[in-house]
Amino acid sequence: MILWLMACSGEKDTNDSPDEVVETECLTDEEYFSDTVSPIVQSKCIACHSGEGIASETTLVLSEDTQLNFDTVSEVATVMENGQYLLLTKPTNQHTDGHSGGQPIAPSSTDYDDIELFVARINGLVDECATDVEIEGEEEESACEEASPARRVLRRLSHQEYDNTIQDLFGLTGTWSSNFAGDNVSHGFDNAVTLQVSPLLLDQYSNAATQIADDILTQGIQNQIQCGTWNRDCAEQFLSDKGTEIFRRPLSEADIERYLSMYDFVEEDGFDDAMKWMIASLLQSPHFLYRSELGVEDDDGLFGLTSWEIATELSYLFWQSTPDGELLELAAEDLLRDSTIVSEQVERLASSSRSSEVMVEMGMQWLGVRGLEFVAKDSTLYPELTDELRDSMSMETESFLATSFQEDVPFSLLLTDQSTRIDTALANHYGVQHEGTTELATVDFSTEDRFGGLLGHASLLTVHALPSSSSPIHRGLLVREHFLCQELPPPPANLNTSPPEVDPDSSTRERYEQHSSDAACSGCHDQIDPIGFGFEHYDGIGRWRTLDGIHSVDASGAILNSDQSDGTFYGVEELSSLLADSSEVSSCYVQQWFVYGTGQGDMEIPEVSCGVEAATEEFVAQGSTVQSALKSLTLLDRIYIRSGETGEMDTFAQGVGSDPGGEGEDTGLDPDTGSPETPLEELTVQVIENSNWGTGYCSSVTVANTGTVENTWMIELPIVDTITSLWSANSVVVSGGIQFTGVDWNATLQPNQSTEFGFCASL
Amino acid sequence: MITQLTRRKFLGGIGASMVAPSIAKMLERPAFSQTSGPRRLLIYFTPNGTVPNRLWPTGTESNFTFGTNNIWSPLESIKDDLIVLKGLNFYNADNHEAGMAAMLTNNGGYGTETNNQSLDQYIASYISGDTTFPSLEFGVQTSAWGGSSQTRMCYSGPDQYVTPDDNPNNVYQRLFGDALLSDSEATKLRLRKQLSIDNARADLIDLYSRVGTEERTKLEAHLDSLTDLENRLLDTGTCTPIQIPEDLSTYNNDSFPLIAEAQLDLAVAALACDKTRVATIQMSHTVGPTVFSWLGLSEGHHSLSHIDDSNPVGIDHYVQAEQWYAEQFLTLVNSLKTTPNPEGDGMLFDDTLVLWAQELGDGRMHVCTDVPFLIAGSAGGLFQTGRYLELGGQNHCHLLTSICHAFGLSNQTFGDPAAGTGGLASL
Repeated sequence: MILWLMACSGEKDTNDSPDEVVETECLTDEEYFSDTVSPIVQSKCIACHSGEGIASETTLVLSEDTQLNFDTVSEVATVMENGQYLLLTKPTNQHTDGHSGGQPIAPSSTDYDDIELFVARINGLVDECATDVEIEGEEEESACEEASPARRVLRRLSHQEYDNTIQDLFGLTGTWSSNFAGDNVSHGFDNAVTLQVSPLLLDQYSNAATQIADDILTQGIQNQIQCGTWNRDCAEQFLSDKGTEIFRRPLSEADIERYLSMYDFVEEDGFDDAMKWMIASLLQSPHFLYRSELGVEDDDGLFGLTSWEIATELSYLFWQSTPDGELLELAAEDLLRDSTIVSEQVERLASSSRSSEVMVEMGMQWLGVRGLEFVAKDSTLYPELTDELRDSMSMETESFLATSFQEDVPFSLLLTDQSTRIDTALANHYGVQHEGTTELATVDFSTEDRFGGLLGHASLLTVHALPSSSSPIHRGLLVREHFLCQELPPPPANLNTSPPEVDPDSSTRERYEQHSSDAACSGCHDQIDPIGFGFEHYDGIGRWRTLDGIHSVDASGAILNSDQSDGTFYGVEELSSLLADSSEVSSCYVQQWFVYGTGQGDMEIPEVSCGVEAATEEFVAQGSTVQSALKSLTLLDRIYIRSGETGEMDTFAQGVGSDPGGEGEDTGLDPDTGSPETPLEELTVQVIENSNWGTGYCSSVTVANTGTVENTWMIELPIVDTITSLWSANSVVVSGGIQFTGVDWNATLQPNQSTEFGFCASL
Repeated sequence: MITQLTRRKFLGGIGASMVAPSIAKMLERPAFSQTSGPRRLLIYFTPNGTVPNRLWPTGTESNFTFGTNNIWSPLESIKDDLIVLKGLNFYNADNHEAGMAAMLTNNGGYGTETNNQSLDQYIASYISGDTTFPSLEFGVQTSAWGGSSQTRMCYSGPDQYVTPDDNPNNVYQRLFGDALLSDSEATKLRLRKQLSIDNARADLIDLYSRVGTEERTKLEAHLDSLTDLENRLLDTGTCTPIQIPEDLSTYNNDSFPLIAEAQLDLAVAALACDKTRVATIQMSHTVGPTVFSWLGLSEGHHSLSHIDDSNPVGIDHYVQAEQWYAEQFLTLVNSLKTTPNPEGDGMLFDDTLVLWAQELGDGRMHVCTDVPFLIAGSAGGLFQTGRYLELGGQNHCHLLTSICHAFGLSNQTFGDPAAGTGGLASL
C-alpha cells in the first residue's frame, strides 16, 4: 500500500498540452481505477467506509475486492448533489452537509486530481486517453468576487483588551480581568466576535467599573481632566472630553444628558462620589464594552465605517487597546476613510515597540502554550519542572515572538531561526552554555544537537505532551492543526481507544504502531503520528534525549496527505524546513492572524475564506514577513466597508417557539413536527421608552406580525402604572398588567406588517 | 412577583419567540405553589465516563450493594437514600463534546419545548421565584481552556453557555458581599446601581435599533443579564457568611480538592439561605486533565479514563480517582442532611433533588450508552429511594422530563422530541 501511495502522490505530471501523449495511458476505466484510484481509497477511505466501519451506512461502502470497489465507486461517481459531484465534495469536506471524516483529500492535491479524472471518465466528460481535467474549478474564484463585504458587527472587548484599554484611558495598571469568567475559545482564540455579556460577567464588569472609578478618584481626578472648579460643569466637560475617549466617539446630547443624570443623582454626597458613580456607569455602557463596526448606510445599501470606527479597528489590531491621541485627532477630522492616511498610521502603529505585544498574545494562543503555567505534569518524574522553569520556558517563546515581530523577519525564519533568547535556568535545562547571568541572553543552537527554532522550544514541547511522557499525537496535532490549519475529527465512538499498556521494552513508536496498522485508525492517524514521531528526541518537558527508554530514538517522520507540504524528514530541524518552505503553512499563518484580527474563524463562510485568501495575496506581495500578515488585514475592504441589515424587524428567522404569556394567540404550531413550515401565528414586540421625567414617562411600542398568517393582535405588558394618554391602540387593565389591542385601522396585521402605538403613564 | 419588575423600564426588542428568557420568565412564571415534592435542584458533574465493571452495583432492585473497592463503594452507607439508574442512553450523541452538550439539554433547538436550555436553567425559570440568583453555577477548574462545548454543561439557549464561576472567592463576594451594609447605605447603593443599570439599558436599546438580527442576539443576552442584576438588587435577604480558605490559586492543579471543598460548602450555603434554588457543581470538564496528585496519582484523569481492562493497575488508579469524586458526593449529601432548609421545616436534603450526572458511559469507548445517573434524596417525598433501576436502554430525556415533573412542570419532552415523550415510568 505504501509503495502505491508514494508512486501516486509524487510529483504531479506537468504535461500541460493535451496533444503530447504520455508514454502509458489510454487505460480502460477499470485499469485506471486499479492503478490510480484504488490505492487512494484503500489508504484514505476504507478505514471508515467499510462494512464494519462507522461509514457503513453511507453510499460508499468498500471491501478488499478491487473489482467490487470499482463498481461501487463508479456508481458513487455519478451522483451529484447541489450541482457538484459527491465523490469530489465529500473527501474534500466541501459538501454543504460536511463530512465526518474531515478532509482526507485536499482540493489541490494530486489525489484530488486523480479522483477528479476518474469522475470525468465515468461521466463521459473525457475519453480514455485523458490525463488531466478540471471540473468546475473556476467557480470558487468568482465566488469570492461576488461575495458581499464583511458583516457589520459589535465586538465585545476581550479580557486582555479590557485591561489594556483601562490602562491607556486612565493610566491605571491592574489586571481586573483576572477576576472575569473565562471566555469562550473559538478556533483557538479568546477574542471571537461572538463574545457576550453573561450575568456572571456583567456582575464582574460592575465590580471592576466601581473599583476602577474608585482608583481614579483616589489618585486624583486632576490626572484625567483639568477644571477651574470641581462641579457639574466639570462633569459635563469630562463627558465631552474624556467621554469621547471612553466611547471612542463623541458623546451625543442624549448621551451627555443620560450620564449627567447619574452625576446629579449622587451630587448630594459631593463631587468626588458623583464623579465616581458617573465614571463607573460609563464603563458599564455597551458603548464602552463593545467596539462598534457598524458604519453608516450609504446609497448602495452598504455601510461605510466612520473614522472613529476605523481608528478603533487599527488600534485594537496593532496595540490591542483604545485609539491614542493621534488616531483620535485624525478621527475627529474624519481623515481615516482615506487609505493613504490609514497606511501611514499602520506604519506608525506597527513600528512602535508596543506592537510586538499583539504578536506575543496571538502567538501564545496560536501555539497553544498559554496553558503552560497550569499544565499538569508528573512531578515525581519531572521534579525539575518548577514554576520558575515554566516561566523561563514562557519567556523564551514570548521574547522570540516579540523580537521576530519587531525585526519583521521573513515568516519562514519563525520556524528555522535557531537563535533564541533564554535565561540560565532554561540554558541548564537545555544543556547549553549561557553568558552566566539570569537575564535573557542570545544562544545560537546551530551547532547543538537540539534544534533551537520554534518547534524546539521547551514551552511547546511541554504543553503538547502527556503528563508523564512525550506524545507523538499531541505534537503531530500541533503541526497539523496549527501550522497546516487542518482540523481532524475526534476518534469515532465505539472504538476502543485505550492506549496500549506501557511496555517498558517497547519504544514510543512501537507503542503507537497500531495506529498505522489498523485500518480503522490509519485514515486519520497517518496525518498525525508520522509527524509526531519526528519530535521523539524531546521528552515530556522538552529535554534532548538520544534514548527513549532502552531504545535509540528514531526521529524519522513524514507529512502525509497534506495539500502542499508532503515530505519525509528526520527530526524537528528538517520538519521545520519542510514547513517553512510550504505556502500552505504560510497561508495558515495568515489565517491565524485573520481569525485573531477579525474574531471570525469559520472558514466555511465566504467572508472568512475569501478574506484569508485576499490577505494571503497581500502578505505575499509584501514579502511574506512576520508583520505583513497583520498588515495585510488593513489592506482589505472590510476596514472601510461592511454589509448587513439595519434595525428592521422583518427577519426574526428563528421565530418558532412557545408564546410567552399572552403576547399573541396560540402559535398554531404543529405539535407533532414543530415544523416552521406549518402556519404560524407570531408577534414580535418592541418597547422603547422615549422620555421619563421622574413622575411619569412615555413609550412607543411597535408590534410586528412575524408569523405566516394574518393576526388580529393583542399583547399584554406587565405595567401597573396608570396610563394617562394612549394613541393608536386600546387598552384594558388586567391583573398584573395592561392588554393592548389595535384601533380599526391597525387591529389586524398581515404577515410582515407592523404597527406602532404609544402611551404615557404616571408613576 | 411581577410588580417588582414593573418599574418604569422594560426591555426593548422582546422577540416573542426568541431569546429574552427573563422577560418570558417574568411573564409566564406561575406562582410556585407546590406543597410537596422538591423545592431545590442540585446537579453534581464529574467527567470522562466510567469503567462499568467497577461501577454498577450487584443485587436486585431493592437489595443491592456497591461492593468493596468499586467506584461507588464510598456511597454504600447512604445507598438507601439513592436511586441508581442504569440503562440510560443519550440520543444521537456520542463522544466527549457531544456528550457534554447533550447531557443536560438533550440537544433541543429552536422550536423545542426547552429551547436547548439545560435541565437546571429550564427548571430555574419556573422555580426560582424571587431568589437573588435564578441559578448558581459552581466550577472547579472548568475554564482553563476557556468556554466551549467541551467545558460547558449549562445552556440558556441554543449555543448559549452559562459560565460557571471557578473562583470561590468571587462566589463568596457575590453571595455575601452586600451583607455588611446598613439599611440606609444599602438603599442608597441600590438606587444608584439601579440608575447605572437604567443607563446601560437605554444605551443597549439605542444600539438595538441600529443593528441586524445576528448582533441583536448579543444585545438581548446583555439585556437579560441586566435584568438579572436588577432583580438581585431587590433582594433584601441576609445570609450568614461561611468560612472558606483565602486566596485559592484557581487553576493550580494541586488546589483542586480545596477548591472543590469550598465550592461544595458555598453551594450548600447558597441553598440554605435561599439565595438560589438551583445549583450546579461542575468538576473540571470533559477531557479534563486533572492529575489527582493528592492521591499519589501522576497521570491525568482523561488519560486514566482510557485505560483498558487488560491493565488492572491502571484501572485501579482510575477507580481511586473516581472514588474520590464519590467521597465528595457523600460529603455533599451529608452536608445537605445536616443543614436546615430556609423554610424552617426540615433539612435541605428533605426537599432538594440531587442528581449526579456524567457525560459518557464507558469512557474508553467514548460512548453515551449506559450513562450513569444517580439521584440522591426522595425529591421531597416523591421518589422511592434505595433502588437500583435497570432501564434497559431508554433515552435519558425521559429522566430529564421526570425530574421536571417532580418540580411540578408539565413538559412532555426535553430537548430533541425525537428522543421520546414522557418521563420514566419507574420513577
